[in-house]
Amino acid sequence: MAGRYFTISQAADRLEVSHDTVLRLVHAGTLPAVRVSERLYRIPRPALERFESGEQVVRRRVVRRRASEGVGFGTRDGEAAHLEMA
Amino acid sequence: MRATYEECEGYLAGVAQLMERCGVVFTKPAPDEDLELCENDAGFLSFELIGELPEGDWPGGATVEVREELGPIGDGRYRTSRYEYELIDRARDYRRAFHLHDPEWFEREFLVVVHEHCERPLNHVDCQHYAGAPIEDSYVGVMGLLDAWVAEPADCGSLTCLG
Repeated sequence: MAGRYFTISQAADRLEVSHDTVLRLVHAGTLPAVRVSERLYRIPRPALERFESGEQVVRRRVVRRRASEGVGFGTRDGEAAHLEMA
Repeated sequence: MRATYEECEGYLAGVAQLMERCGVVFTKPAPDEDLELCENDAGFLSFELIGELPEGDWPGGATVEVREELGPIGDGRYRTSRYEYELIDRARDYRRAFHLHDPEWFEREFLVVVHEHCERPLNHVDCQHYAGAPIEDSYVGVMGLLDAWVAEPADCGSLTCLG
């Protein structure tokens, strides 16, 4: 079973670029990566696959919507209900 | 996170873009829909982004959910007042969540403002609320969810239970 992430070296091999190039992509925010320690990064497999696809991630338009209430919080854990009772 | 209304719009677009760069496929809003920044009667802004990570070799896949509310603090600016970052990892039968909501209640009950959730297996709740650290903004929240997804599932029992 494939792992859920690539190290910088594994990503460099897969993309056929240098280790430093992958680091530059990570530091530029072009390739999302989880920072495990000062020098260690994990690149989630879906992030690398998305990057590899070459498909542009278009910045979406934001629209304003008036609503009497906004997004609901604490609903999954039933917290909204027990907090109201408290 | 503190921002003007226009900066909040850009922030929402940026967070959604980060999620898509991470490989998340949106279910809310749908892939062809605009992002919604809701404004309630009290002037609070909020948004909700929900999507799926590809199943790949992990049947069942995983859902990521991001919710944030920003309250008005005067001078046309807003500051984060609530958030929820959720990972439902069905492939691993696991949930991790990082929450800030009802801070007065949590401060009164547990002397904390933020809390976390951890379930493994899913819906198996040994502890209602775990101690956690504040999350700076939704960019950090999204990467926190990806961190939870790539790492081995946390041992829920090793976390600090608040009650």
